[in-house]
Amino acid sequence: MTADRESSDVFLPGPLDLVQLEDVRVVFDGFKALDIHYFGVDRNELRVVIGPNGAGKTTLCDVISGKTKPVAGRVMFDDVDITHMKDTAIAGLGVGRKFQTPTVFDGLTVFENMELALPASRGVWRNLFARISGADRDRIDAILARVRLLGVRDVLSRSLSHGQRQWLEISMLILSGPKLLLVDEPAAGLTDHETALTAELLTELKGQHTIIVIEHDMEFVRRLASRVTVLCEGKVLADGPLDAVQEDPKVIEAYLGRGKERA
Amino acid sequence: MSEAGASLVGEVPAEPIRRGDPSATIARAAAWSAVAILLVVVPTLAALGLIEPSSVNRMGRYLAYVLVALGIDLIWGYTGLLSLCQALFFCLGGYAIGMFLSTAQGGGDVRPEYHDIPQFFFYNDITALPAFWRPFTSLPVAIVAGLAVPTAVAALFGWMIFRSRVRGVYFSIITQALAWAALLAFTNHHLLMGGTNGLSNFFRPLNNDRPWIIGLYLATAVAVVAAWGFCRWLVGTRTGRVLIAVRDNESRLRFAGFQPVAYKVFIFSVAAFLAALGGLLYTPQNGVIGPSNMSIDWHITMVIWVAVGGRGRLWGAIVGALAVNFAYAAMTSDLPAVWPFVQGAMFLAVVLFFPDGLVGVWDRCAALLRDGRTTRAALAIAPLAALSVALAIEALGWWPAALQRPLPVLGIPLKYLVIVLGITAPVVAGWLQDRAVRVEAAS
Ligand SMILES: Nc1ncnc2c1ncn2[C@@H]1O[C@H](COP(=O)(O)OP(=O)(O)O)[C@@H](O)[C@H]1O
Ligand SMILES: [Mg+2]
Repeated sequence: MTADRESSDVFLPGPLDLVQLEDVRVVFDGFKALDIHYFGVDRNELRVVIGPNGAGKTTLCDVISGKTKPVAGRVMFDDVDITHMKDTAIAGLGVGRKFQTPTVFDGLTVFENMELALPASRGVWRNLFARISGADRDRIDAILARVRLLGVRDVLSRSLSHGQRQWLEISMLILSGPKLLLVDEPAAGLTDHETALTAELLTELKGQHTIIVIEHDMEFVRRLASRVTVLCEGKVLADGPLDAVQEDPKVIEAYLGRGKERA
Repeated sequence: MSEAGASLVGEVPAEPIRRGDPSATIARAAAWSAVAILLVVVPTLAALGLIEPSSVNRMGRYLAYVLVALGIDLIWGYTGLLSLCQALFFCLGGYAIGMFLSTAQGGGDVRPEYHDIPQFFFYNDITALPAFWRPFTSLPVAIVAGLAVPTAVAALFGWMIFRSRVRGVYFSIITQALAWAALLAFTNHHLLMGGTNGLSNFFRPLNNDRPWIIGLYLATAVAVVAAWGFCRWLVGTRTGRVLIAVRDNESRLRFAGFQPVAYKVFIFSVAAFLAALGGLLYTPQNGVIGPSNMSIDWHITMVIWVAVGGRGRLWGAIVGALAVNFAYAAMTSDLPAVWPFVQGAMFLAVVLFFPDGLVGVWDRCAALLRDGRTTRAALAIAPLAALSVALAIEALGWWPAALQRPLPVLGIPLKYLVIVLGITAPVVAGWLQDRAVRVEAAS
């Protein structure tokens, strides 16, 4: 079943896909970091992207969010060609992102960080006179309570733990209400307990948001129970449910090959 | 709470200062007393003749520097952009009002033998006021131009720099280059702005007659209080938060849909406006504005004020500008040669041991107060308090004669020792306290 999947339907463009990468190639100093024939994610789908280190997962996020420009191919988001658009403009279309290393604004409190994520105006003048509404305040507090950050709401985020920073960044992403959430390695560096909470959060969002999650941790991926795309050396190697993908000889080969190199 | 908290030198306390906190009460009381002293006490004492007019004039000039320092704190302390051309904006404001003050309409010292126009034009063989000088014969035009031109220059220049994503040290270098170019232009007498001498021969009573001196001092003090209120408001808005976000992580901000360029251009313009306002108020009190007010080291000196006071906190900029300048005034009245060494030492001390400046001393004290360790808090703040008293005495010109006389062996007056100790003691105390905290944390 896996065999004919990869050769036929999944590589064909789905007309309803919110994100579409067509023949996208990214090259760093002659090194092909990404070479994708087709990668699409449907509306309200949660897609997990796995793959060995250096497979190009983060680069895939960079291409969608406009941080890196492909040398060839086309990137479509919500029926708009975003291949040559600027990062800020793409964010404006509704692409939100959580970086691999948690990045929050250290000099701001947890609440102030959340305030900047509100889907309000981004202009200088407007923000001089912007006042937070009671409804927004309640929404922020509700999300913070959900990720157990309400107790540190008014603490500068530079003094948060690694896990708390991860959650703060995810919370900011959820609050900003993007059409697409790009979540790069949300479980990296978390304890098992924290990982479980993060997985719960993402499954809660499933069905109402379009999400691309990049992850290494197989236990975590299993909890998400979603369709998986395997990247390797910049190419899509396999695609499907986790169990099927894990049995794919090419995937085993890729991971084992890596293992041998390391040994 | 976090493992990192205690060990870092100069770590800002994680808990924001809340109302009802003993240190917050003290801070609020200090702020209101400062406003009362600036706006009521000093003018009253001056009117009663208890402060020499020359001391009032000096306070007025240093308060004009405070305006520049507030701008530097906004752009450097809050937004993380080290601008090295703030003295240029200060001078653009200063020259605008200087032009008005040197003309006949502004009460300038013009003479029939020089065709009733500023005397330096004589060297350019000019016998009538040049066209671009003519609007500046009106005070309102001079004031509006003195504020609008520097702000517009900053906006335009900032837009060009920031649009091309120039960042970090490159921004500092480019602003320094702009400052150089402007210095060369203003030094050239073909610019018709007084060349190396700048503009002078203003209306004489401005910095000689008591009522004018007190009036200009008051205008500057009001401007400082207003600017402080404005900056406080600004950093409290959501725009203020975005500025801090620019400093912390600009690219993250872009992926949140913000245009950092707009915010950077905005704050660069605001900082330029404040510097220009400082220049406008400084020039009549100083009696001269010239290229020496925008020399290369001067831009850096202005940054040092904020570094010593403590960046990223408004009162740090205010206290820093006043403390460094009054220390300078106290030390240079008889020993000008020593000053560069003192200033260099201060800057090194701040960079090496004391990244949070005087603000850091206070934060330490506030943290101790919160923990109920009143004695240690008092010890931490004592050197700073002593320094404040010494500098206040200097500001008012109230040094007792005994402290002014050179000591027998050292050959220098006692007041220098008080000030040098006042500056070094908080540094040493802070360092010792850090060690103590580290030893405690280790055991
Ligand atoms: N900015 C860059 N310049 C040069 N090479 C890069 C750059 N970004 C990523 N790469 C390379 O591209 C490959 C894919 O990287 P990345 O997408 O970060 O992998 P992953 O996230 O799957 O671990 C790696 O070999 C990496 O070294
Ligand atoms: Mg990665």
